[in-house]
Amino acid sequence: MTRVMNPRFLSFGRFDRSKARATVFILLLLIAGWNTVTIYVHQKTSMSAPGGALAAFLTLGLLLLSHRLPSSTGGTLGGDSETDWIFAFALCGVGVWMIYWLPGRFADHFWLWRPDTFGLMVCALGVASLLGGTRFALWIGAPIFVTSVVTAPIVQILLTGTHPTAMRVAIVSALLGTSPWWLARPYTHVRIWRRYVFLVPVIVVATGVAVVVGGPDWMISVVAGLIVAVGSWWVVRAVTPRRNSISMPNVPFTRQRWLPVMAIVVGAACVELLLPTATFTPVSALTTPHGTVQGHYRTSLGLSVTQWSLPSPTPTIEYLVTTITGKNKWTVLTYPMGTMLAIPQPACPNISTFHNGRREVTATLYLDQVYAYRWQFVSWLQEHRNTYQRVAVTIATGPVGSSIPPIGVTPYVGVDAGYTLGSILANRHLLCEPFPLVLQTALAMNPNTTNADLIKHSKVHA
Amino acid sequence: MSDAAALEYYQRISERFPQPPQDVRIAAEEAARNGLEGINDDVMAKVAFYPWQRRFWITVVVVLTVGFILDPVITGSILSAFLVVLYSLTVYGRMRITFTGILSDPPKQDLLHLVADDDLPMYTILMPAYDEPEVIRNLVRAVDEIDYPHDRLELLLLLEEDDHRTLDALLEVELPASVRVLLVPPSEPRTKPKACNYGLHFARGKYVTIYDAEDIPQRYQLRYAVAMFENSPDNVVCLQARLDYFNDRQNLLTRFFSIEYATWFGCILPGLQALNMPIPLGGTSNHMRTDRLIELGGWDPYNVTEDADLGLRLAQNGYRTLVLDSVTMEEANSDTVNWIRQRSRWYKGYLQTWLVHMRRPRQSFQHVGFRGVLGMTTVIGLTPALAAVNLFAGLITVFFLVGLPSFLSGVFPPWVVYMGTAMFFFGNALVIFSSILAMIKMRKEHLVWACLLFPLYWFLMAVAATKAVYQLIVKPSYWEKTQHGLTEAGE
Repeated sequence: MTRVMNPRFLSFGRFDRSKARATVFILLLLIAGWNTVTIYVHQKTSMSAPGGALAAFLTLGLLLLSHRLPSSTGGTLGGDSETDWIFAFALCGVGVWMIYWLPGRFADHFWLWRPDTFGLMVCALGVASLLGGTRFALWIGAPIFVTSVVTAPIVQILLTGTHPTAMRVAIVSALLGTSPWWLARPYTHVRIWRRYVFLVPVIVVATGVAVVVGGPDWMISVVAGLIVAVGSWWVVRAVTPRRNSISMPNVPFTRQRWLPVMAIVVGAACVELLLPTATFTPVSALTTPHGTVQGHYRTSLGLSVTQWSLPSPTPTIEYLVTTITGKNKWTVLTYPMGTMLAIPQPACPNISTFHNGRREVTATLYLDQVYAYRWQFVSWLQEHRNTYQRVAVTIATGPVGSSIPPIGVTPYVGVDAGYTLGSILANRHLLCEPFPLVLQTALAMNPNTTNADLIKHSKVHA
Repeated sequence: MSDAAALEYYQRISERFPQPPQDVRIAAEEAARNGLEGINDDVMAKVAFYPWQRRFWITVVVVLTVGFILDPVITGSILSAFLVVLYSLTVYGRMRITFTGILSDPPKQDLLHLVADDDLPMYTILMPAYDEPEVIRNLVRAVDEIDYPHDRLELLLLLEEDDHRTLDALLEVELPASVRVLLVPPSEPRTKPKACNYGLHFARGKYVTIYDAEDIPQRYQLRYAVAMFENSPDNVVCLQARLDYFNDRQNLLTRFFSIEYATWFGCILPGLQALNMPIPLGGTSNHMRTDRLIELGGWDPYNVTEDADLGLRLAQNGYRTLVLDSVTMEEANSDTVNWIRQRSRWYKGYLQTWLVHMRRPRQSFQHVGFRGVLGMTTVIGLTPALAAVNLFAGLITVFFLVGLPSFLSGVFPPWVVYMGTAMFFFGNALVIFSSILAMIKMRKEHLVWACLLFPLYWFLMAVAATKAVYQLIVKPSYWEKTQHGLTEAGE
């Protein structure tokens, strides 16, 4: 392997063909993942905290570009084309599969975890092994994985809570932004620590100044994120030229692999079209169920959360409705509500997703086998005059003569996240079909939905 | 380099390191390539698949393809059921061998009666090297440290005639008197076994062994080998010393590699020995009776794991291999891609070896018995085959778990799902557990924690096995060169 003498990256005076290819590649990935990226940006902006995610992605981008940095001694080990292909095949296969299937499996929790971004990252890793070689893909793998996790909305909500303050958002942005490079370089390098010790106070002071001076939350978040991103680049720059260059040579973009890379990008773009687009059918008026209000509160994100119990024909069945209403549909979608059902010991959380026209409807069956309680759950999002409302209808049934445990009003974010993983890992080979009673209740609350549509789609997807 | 320049270079080298006459060299080179063919061409891997084997595998592929086209669910469910059963049997077989090895107690060095200096026979060390200038200095140091009378020690350094980098490095060092440099004439296949066969042609020792240039054998290893040969029956013609790594703490990969080697040489080979199954030899430090080795035709120059092949060929001919209680320290591969290349060669060689020795299954059963064929298939054939399937099976499992596509639900009938899940958790846990036990037995407690991360290593194995299967079809005798001498830079 010849030594690559390329003293600086981002020096546009020396903008060579490899850099042009890298730029085109990143642009193509953005285009291929346009749907994912668009939804993601909307979602994070609505949470008034785009900084952390932005910083994390920027840091990742800088790490990706850092493979263009010169190495101190020059690489001596050759790559292996066959290994690159096998890695690319496996990773892209998994990535595309995740983009295509995970949204359906996660159902309501899709908006909390955004598994499609993870799938896109895995695809990018596969493409990286084709373009930069397997060693490069392995090196960048850990930062990519961390970026995928920390940029999930659930992490933001877990760290800032459902009532975030500007300071909390800023600190979390800084924390998330720095995370990718933690795994991208050796911990033992003294220079890293010197720069890091300098960087942390700068971030804290800058964030404090931004909070004192004032401004919208999102602006403070973005400023904090940018400071972190630039700082991260500075720290990464301190060590990457001195990485073990024998096993991590600079690998230029390979021209003959451009065609398969394009094929992967186009394939990913096609799969992207299958993602939930969150385009909702307007209804004539927001549903206002008539029943007993069990709880009501407003969140700092401008959401109004209300729960009702509806009149029931028998004492063993309760009809429960939760609505989350707000002006920003992404906030409404993202707000965690799985644990608002507050179901004790769910033994069989199963999820099924079906479509009502262009609207995605989620049905969940929780079954408590010990106490013979059963909760069935259907939710959807609707819009009226720029106001969005997520509605969840729950039918709770219990044994004769017993009282059904009450449902909660506020979500438990951490438990919500746990439920999602539990529902993915447990009872993999079962899918619960929504019961007719649940569907009828849902229909009664939403006059625009036709019975035939709902049942037809539920059968198709069950 | 032009022919004239090459000739001039050869003359310059041969002045410093005298070579046999040209006609002798040509005869030796011819014997190195085709010597085995003259004895028994059935055991050469010149052709990867025997005609009936080729027909069989083509039929399997065609049947599966047609089956998937006509009824993917039925075909997929039959295939998945077959694989799950195969996995279960393999895990059982491997665990039986491993636990037998863990519980076995091989002969210790101090129990052997060392042979007096005057009675020590001539011993030949073959040391093939190619494009490894960085390990030449280590070679000199290693020779100095071997405790064996130098007048009865012959070290043949086998270099390719056109390996100028190594030869240039060699010109700069002073070699011990017992070292003789032999330049192998360039010809295909360019493999280590061909170089060894070339060296065997000139070997004068009663016993012969192979060391890689970067090896550090235990000081008294040759003496132990002679003592064990002298105290063993005549049908024991090979002794395999244990291989270990000196850089096992360099990174996670070298730790994994060390765990694997410790399990292999410390438990699996003793287990095979205790169960009277054929022992596939390791790449170096296998000590043999020279006359028997020549009688068998030496190594197969077309097999890329000639050592494993020779081990099975010894068993097929009624000879025995025992494990020698002595260690040779090697350098563990510390770079992932370099490791994949090396491992893909080993896996390809294993597949070659298994195919070669199953060309006439009835003969194999007659020679090594049902248990021998079972051991050979479990350790040699199924190790790479299932590792290759692992990548595909792993992907399908991920797809099934995270996506739950309806068509895969049909492919995995409930009993296959339950058995597969049991294998996934119980089988993998058992393999990890046995590795931990092996580390405790081999006094490598510092590697126990890395055993828990072993599934990461399996993924790399799966990649290497996939590459091996591809190469077995496309370029069966191609030798993937492993780069050595990475330890210093890595640390």
